[in-house]
Amino acid sequence: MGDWIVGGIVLTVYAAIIYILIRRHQKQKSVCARCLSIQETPSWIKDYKNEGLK
Amino acid sequence: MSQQENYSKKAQELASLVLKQETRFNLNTSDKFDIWLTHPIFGLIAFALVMWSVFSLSQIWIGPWLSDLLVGQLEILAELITSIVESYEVSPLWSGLLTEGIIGGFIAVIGFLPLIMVLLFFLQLLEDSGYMARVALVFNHYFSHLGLSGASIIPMYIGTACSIPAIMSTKTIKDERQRHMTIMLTPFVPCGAKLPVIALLLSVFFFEQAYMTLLVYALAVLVIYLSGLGLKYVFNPSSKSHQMLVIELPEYKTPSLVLAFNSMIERAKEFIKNAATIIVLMNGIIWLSANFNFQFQMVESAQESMLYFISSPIAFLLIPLGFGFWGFAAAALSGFVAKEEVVGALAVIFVFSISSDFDVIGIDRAREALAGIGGLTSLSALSFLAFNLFTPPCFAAIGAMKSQLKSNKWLLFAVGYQLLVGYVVAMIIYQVGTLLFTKQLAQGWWASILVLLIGIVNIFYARRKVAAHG
Repeated sequence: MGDWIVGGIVLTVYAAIIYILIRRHQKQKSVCARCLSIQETPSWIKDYKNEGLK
Repeated sequence: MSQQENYSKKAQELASLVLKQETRFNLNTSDKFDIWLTHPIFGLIAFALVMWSVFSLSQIWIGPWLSDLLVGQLEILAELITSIVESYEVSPLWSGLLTEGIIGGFIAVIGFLPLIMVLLFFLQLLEDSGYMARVALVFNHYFSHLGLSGASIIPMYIGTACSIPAIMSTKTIKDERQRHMTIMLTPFVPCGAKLPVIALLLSVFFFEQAYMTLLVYALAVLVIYLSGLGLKYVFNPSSKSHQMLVIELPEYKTPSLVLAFNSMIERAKEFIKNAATIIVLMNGIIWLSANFNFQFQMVESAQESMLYFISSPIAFLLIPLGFGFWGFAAAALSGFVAKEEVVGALAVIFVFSISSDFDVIGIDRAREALAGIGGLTSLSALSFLAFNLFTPPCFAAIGAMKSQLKSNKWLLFAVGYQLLVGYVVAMIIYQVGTLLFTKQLAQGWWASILVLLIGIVNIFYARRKVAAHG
C-alpha cells in the first residue's frame, strides 16, 4: 500500500516536472526563457544596445 | 590656406576652447567622483572594496542568517515526510527517490537561495545608484589590451546574471572576430547559476572568509584577461574596426529599496522554479543511477552503480586536478544541464545537506562528506570550483553560442577552448598549490605538462587556420 502511495506521488511529481519543462521548451524554443525573463536590462545598456542595432 | 581649411582650423580652436571651459567650470559632484571611480587603477581598487563589502554582507552576515531560517523550516518538513514514509515501510526505491533524490537535492540547492537573494539585492542597489556603468568604463580600459572593443563589456556585464542573454547581446558587435572572441569569453563570467557552487565550496572549505569570494571573482577577471590574450593571438582582431564604448553615464542617485527588493523577488522566483523542475529531475536521475546497476537492481556499494561506470573514466582524467573521485566527475557532468545542479548532485551522491545549523553542524557535515569520502582538500576544492566555473557553460548557453557563432566548426573550437581553459586553470591551482604548500609534486604532474603542450599546439594550429581562411 505504502509503495503505491509514495510511488504514485514520486511519479506524479516527475510527470508534472516533465510536462512543465516540455511546455517551457515549446514556448522558449532554443533560448532560455528563465534568463530572458529575469534579465532586467539597465537603461544605460538598453540605450547602448538600441544605438548599436541602428 | 583655403577658406575651408581656415574655417576648419577656427572650428577646432573653438571646440578646444569650449572643452577646456567645460572641464574648468562645469565639474559637478558626480563628475568629481567619476574622475576617481572611472580611473583605470583607483576605479579597480574602489570596485574591489565595494564588492568585498557586498560579499561580506551576503555571504557572512545576512545571507547565512536567512539561510538558517529557510532551511530550518524545510528540514522540519523533510523530517516529517521521511518519518511518514518510514512508518509505511515503503520500498528503498520509492523512499530513497523521494527523501534523498527529490527532497534532499532540492533543499541542498534552495539552501543557498537567501545568500544569492541578498547578493542580488545589493548588486541591484549598486546598479540603480549608477555605479555599475562606471565599472564598465573601468574594464573598458583593460579590454582594449585584448583587441576587444568597449562593445564587449556589455555582454560580459549581462553575463553576471546569465550567459544566454549575454551571448545573444553580442549581435551589436560589428567586427566578426571581436564578436567571436566575446562569445567565447562571456561564459567565463560567473553567472547566477554558478553562485550556489561558489557558496557551497567556499562556505565548506573557507568558512566566513569573504575575501575568498572576492578572490574567485578576481580569478574570473584574470582568466578572462589571459584567455582573451590567447584568443587575441588566434584571431588577431583588426584594430581598424575598433568600436568605441560611448555610453551616457547616468547621474548618481539614491537607489530605490523597493526596486531592488522587487528585482530580488523576481530572480528568487525564477531560481525556485528552476530548482523545483530541472534540478529535482536531475537529482532523481542521479539518485537512480547512483543506486542501481545496468540490470536495474539496487546496489549495495556505489562502485557497482551505473553512475560509477559512467563517471569513472572521466574521473581518471581529473586526477591531475586533485579531485579524481567519481562523484566529482558525475557532479561536474551534471553541471552541463544547469550549473546549480553541481550542488544538487554533490548532495545526492555524498548524502549531505546544509542543515538548519548553517553556521556549524551543516558545514561540518558537508565537509566530512566531501573530504572524508571524496578526499577533497581546501586546495582541490578550489580547483574543483575553478573547473566548474571555467569549463563550458550549460547546454542552453552552448545553444546560444551556436546560434551566434553560426558555425559548427567555431562552436567546436569555442567549447574545446573553454574546456582547455577550465582544465588548465584547475590544474594550475592544484599542481602549483601542492608544490608551494607541500614542496612535493602532485599526482599526475606529468599529465599536466602534456595537457599544457597539447593546448599550446592547438592554439598555434588554430591561429594558422584562422590566418589561412582570412
